[in-house]
Amino acid sequence: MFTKSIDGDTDISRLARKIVKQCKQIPPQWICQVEEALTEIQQRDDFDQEANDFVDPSEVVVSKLDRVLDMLYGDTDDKIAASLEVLSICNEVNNLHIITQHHQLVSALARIYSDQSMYSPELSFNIGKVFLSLSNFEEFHPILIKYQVGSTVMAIIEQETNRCVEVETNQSYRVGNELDNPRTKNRRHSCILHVCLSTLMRLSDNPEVLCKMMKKGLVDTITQTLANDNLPMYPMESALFMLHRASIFGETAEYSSNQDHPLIERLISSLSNTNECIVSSALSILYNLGFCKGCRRKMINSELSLSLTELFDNSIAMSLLYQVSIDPEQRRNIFSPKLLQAISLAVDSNKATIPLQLGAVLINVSKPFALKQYTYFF
Amino acid sequence: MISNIDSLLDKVSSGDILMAKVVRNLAKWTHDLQHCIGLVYYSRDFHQLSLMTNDPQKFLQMNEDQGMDSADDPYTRYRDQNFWSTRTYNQISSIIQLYVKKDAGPLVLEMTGTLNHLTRFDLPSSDGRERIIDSIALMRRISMLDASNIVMKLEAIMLCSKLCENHDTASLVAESNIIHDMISIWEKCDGDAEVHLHILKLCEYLIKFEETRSTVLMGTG
Repeated sequence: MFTKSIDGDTDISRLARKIVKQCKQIPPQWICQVEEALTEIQQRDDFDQEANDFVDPSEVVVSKLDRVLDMLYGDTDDKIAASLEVLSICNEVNNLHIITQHHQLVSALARIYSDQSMYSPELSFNIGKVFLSLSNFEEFHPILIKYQVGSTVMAIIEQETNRCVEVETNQSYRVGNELDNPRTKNRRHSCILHVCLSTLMRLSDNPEVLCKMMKKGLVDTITQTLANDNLPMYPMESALFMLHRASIFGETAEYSSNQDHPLIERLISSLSNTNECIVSSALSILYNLGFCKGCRRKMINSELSLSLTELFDNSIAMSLLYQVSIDPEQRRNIFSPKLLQAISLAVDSNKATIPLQLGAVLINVSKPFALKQYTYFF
Repeated sequence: MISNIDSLLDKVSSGDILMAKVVRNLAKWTHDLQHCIGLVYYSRDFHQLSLMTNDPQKFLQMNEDQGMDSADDPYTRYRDQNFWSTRTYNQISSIIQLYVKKDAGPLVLEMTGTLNHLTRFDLPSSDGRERIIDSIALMRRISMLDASNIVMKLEAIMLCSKLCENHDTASLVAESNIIHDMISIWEKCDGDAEVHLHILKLCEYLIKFEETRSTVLMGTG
């Protein structure tokens, strides 16, 4: 578009500044590279010839999108092909602007995503990836919000979680067929979950959007996702990331402190995961929830201290142990013989001082009224 | 003896303020426990002691008829536990001396507070004359350590009062002229009722004994 106007007399620096100003995907620090590219175009011998034959790439994309839009009204196979086509167009960052300006297409994609993702995992995955690409840029968030992509994504997460449970319970179901192999199915659902959770993660960068998601039951939806023991690492990381964001709100803590809510138990069980990132995220969420007395009580009743014994070198784990040792009436239930042994080892170590968090735990347990049940010192 | 106390005090020696707080909390517990033993011995309400410890029998013998042991000294069993050994006491004193020199107020405060929680059943039965004179000199330095820190001054006054509970050590306190320092603290902390109360308590102990009475009557003007 800009190159159309280039001739021998064009002020390249000025044009480069104009391009950087108008194309928001180009960072301002790339101005030198833009200038270099424009100079190269200006110096090409055949430039004038090419300029005459120039076809605006955005027009090409728009015509492609028009064709895709027609396909989206076809049968499921057509829709899948169309979604793949949009996905390939999304690979070029500059095209994202063009896609979002094609309201009919975005509207159709959002509608199909909402209505038909239940019947076609492939369609769900492809359209989900299109929205994920758009969600990477904050300036496209208003469009995604307008078409209620967040709500649809949450509904799909719920639906995919249920599907995973279903696959788990029907392990022997049509094992012979590769496509219907439970493991393949589970992997496919996990991929969809990962795309959905990643989209939610990006949309929740805006605290107002996050609040809306929470009102629509984000915590419940993600807690349900964590129930899958075979959930692969990436969707699990995304799920924990979302929960970490939600855990800074008092409402989340109050809600999860309810007797029947399984979030705390699930987080505690994920502390035995072999992946350090997952353990660290789970600990951070528990730490945030630990500011609520009800949650602390639940953590102690769920034998959190047993899991923490294995994580003695982790500073967040020790901070969490300190959090749960705040309530005098609960202290007696925290200290298992194994944990006391670990504390004893840390105190007896050759290090001049002991970690700050562990020191704070020891202060709490050495308070006169805590010592009654405390067999470490006496 | 308290388990791990040596390791804890080693960490305190290295400047670990959190461990100093832990040691002080432990001293507070043994202090409260002794108070409770005294109360239970006279009230015969054994339940009170079970609020303090899981094993009350460790500290007071109950007879078959659920009554208390009629022994004269209710603290015999407590003393037998030997929670605070002479070695521990010496180690705490050394830490205070070390950190007074370094002007490390918070750590000195915690360790002085620890000594204040120890009773005659915890402290070594006989302390040499020179050692007590050293302690008095140390208290003087503690009271002057942080001019603006009232809590530090209070701890020093309370420690001084503790020495005056005993006839022999009270004489040494009287001879040291520390009473003048107390008067100076009184004047500097004009309006602080707690400081005044503890200085009065110190004077009360000194007045109790004939040999030290004149120090208060003459020395305080």
